[in-house]
Amino acid sequence: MRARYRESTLFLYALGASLLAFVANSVKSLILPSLINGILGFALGSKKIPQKLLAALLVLNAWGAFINGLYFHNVGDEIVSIQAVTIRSGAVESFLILTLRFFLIVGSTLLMLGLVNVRDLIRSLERDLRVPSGIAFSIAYAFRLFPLLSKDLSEIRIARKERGFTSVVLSPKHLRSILLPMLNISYERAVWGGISAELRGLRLRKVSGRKPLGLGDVIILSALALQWVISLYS
Amino acid sequence: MRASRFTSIDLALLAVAGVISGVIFTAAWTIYNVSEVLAGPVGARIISYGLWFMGAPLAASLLKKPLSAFLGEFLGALVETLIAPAGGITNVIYGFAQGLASELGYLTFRYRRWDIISGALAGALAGLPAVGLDAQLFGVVGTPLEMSLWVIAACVSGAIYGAVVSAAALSLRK
Amino acid sequence: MRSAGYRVGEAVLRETGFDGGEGELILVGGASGSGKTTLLLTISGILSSLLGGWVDGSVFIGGEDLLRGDSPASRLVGLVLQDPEKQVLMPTPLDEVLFTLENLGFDESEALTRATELLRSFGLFDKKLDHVETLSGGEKRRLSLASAISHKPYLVMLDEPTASMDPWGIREVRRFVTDLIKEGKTVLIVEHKIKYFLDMADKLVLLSSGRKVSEYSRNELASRDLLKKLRGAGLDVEPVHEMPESPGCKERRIGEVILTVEGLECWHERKKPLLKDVSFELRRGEVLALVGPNGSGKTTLLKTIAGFHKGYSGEIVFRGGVRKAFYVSQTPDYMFLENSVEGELRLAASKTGRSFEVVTGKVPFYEERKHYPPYRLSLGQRRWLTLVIAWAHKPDIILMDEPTAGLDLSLLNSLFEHVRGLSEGGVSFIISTHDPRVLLGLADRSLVIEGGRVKELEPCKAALMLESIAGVY
Repeated sequence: MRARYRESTLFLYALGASLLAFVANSVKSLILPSLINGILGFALGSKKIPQKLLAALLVLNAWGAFINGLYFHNVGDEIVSIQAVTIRSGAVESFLILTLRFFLIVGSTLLMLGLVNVRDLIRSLERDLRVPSGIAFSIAYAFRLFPLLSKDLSEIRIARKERGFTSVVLSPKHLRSILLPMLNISYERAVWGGISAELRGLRLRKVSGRKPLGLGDVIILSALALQWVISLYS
Repeated sequence: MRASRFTSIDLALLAVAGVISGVIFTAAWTIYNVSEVLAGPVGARIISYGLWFMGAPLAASLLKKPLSAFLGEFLGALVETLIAPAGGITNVIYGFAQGLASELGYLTFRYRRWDIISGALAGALAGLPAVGLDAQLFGVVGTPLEMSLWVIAACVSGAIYGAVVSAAALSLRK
Repeated sequence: MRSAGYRVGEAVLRETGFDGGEGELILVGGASGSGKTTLLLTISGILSSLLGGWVDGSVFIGGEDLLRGDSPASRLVGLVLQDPEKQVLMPTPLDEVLFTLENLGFDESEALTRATELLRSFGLFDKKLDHVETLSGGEKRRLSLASAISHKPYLVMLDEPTASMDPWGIREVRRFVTDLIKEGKTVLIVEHKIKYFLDMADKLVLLSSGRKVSEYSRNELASRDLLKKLRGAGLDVEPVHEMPESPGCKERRIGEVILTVEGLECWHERKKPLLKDVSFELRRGEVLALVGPNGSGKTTLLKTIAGFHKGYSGEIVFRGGVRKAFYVSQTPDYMFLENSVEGELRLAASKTGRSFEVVTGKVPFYEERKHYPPYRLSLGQRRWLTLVIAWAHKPDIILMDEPTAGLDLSLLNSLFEHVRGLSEGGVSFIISTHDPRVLLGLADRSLVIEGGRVKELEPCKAALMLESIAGVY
């Protein structure tokens, strides 16, 4: 079954689901949306995003949630005590809430990333959501540039190593010394890119032909609304 | 619409600022987590938060036009979301709010100063919505004293990194 | 066109005017700095519309003055930039070709039809939705050519198209230009390596210091004397085999073996090796050229020897107390860490223990440029600077990646002098190149990469091979 949908609708979905994460305050209200989005998101996202990265994300977030709980919410009944550290119910609850929020947010984002590719998303943003053409161009150009700048970075690190510097950034001064070459190289590229774009008529650009709302859009948006309702009334 | 006053070159530079800041934003997550263990919440904020505010002063120092700060930060956040969804799409929300705050920084100078000072201010102002959103999202709420410390730490960090990145961008002699 | 410039009162171009007809190829030649690029920017209207420059004069295409009219030149002009990396804007080939069409208001389905047809004819259809960074250098080049003509402009301009192109690419560009001329378009090529288009040109316009110095028609261009005169003006007019003073293949005194590579295999992905069974030796003071098309693995090989590429198996053995191989990238900009030439040299001196005075002594333009940011130097000067920095680190071997891309004849000769001087002092070089001039003027030996394997060939023969691939031999 193919229900037609606009890519930008998924963007709105992810945004809406994440906003829900901000608003929902308890384990009860979060559990359903979080599990749905988390499971679907990680399942779909793992096709495009390397599993190692996803695992690292999970660990990083669990760790952050744990520390957060320990620092800020360690109140209530004692649950367990490890050496000098006492973990109380407050910390556990906050850990759960944060972890559920993480699943909701990251899950819905992965859902979006898993179902659309970036190029179509950018086009949809411009065509359906009426993002200004200039901005849409910047977004598309940024997407084009990203691997190029990654290559720049590794070449710069090679040169730094050769000239006797560490390749790891340890301080703002280091940061500046990596920023400078990256900016310098990209600057020239951007000027010529701008020239290329201007000559090819960027200024005249007007995109028309909005893709009509399809069944898929309706499904996606209703799913979002449903989750909000369920969550807020739990 | 304001955006049409951006030339094609401006738009291309905006993209460059967006990619560079997006990459820095992504790296900032690790730095934050590591420094939180070593230096506590205040220390972590001083060390890492400013990194997340760099998109605005970077873009503004390159373009020197109204709205460039906001767009730079926002675009960086968008890139960050696509590279590594560590914060998921909330990055976009943070980027939006931080971008607006930084834009206000340039506005207070009536869009006439585009230097290290305005860059530092822009970076510093972004600390406010960042801590505010944290409180809402992560329940990072503490005593008024703690919260003020965090806000100050975030703003100081923003000022430092804002100055660093503005200086770098301004030193590009075309 | 009477005059044009970037700043009011400061003219970069003067008294430059010429005509071109349908189906004609106009070559614009001149040394670096003669204003060729400014000319292109002026003709396309970019100078005045985007860069805030001024033009006193007019540019007529098909009866329309480009510079007065309201619509930018987009509909009528197509521009191919020197470096596809600078030109390609969109993430996928399809989007890239569609970009101009969409901007100019073509109807969606027509745009799509044109785009797919174009991609098919350039052999890019299968990759139309892949990210452009996954394309090979040759494919990117083809993409830049395709996207310049998607809207069927009257005038197609190419900015130094052969600057960093390998002979295979040059052959493609020649074919591209020939097809355009057959279709009746006017083609304008700005170059200093005019040798590759001389046989096809209807007109040659010479620029020097921003002025049109002379104009030659096709008949005049056949004369040998004229070619000699042009050579004197710093233009690369003859393919290497016709150059009068080719140093020929000479023997040089070289020292002992300092590097042995045995059975090397390099890859980016273990299962798909780029290079197989590579074995060779390098001697002290020797200049070894590595020849092959873009993407054949030259850079990877150099980086592997320098120790920066870890995906390899086989032996790399340095002998005779040799420790260091310094890699100099094709893009000199990657090497710079400071904001001034002086800063760079001080840094190099302090990190290597050489005296600052000695280091600056090696840079002939030091006094006039010491406060310049390194990125503002000319390409030749930047290359020179990186070579000095490399030398400062006292390496035994310097690995240079395509050092001649974009250099005109005079800069090339200075670079050669510099390298020769260093090699006579005992520094060995491995230079990856697809430029026949390097083979004739610099290389003691050359290795040709073919099908992932390496074969030794005499430099003269290798040079001829390259020129024949390009179509001028």
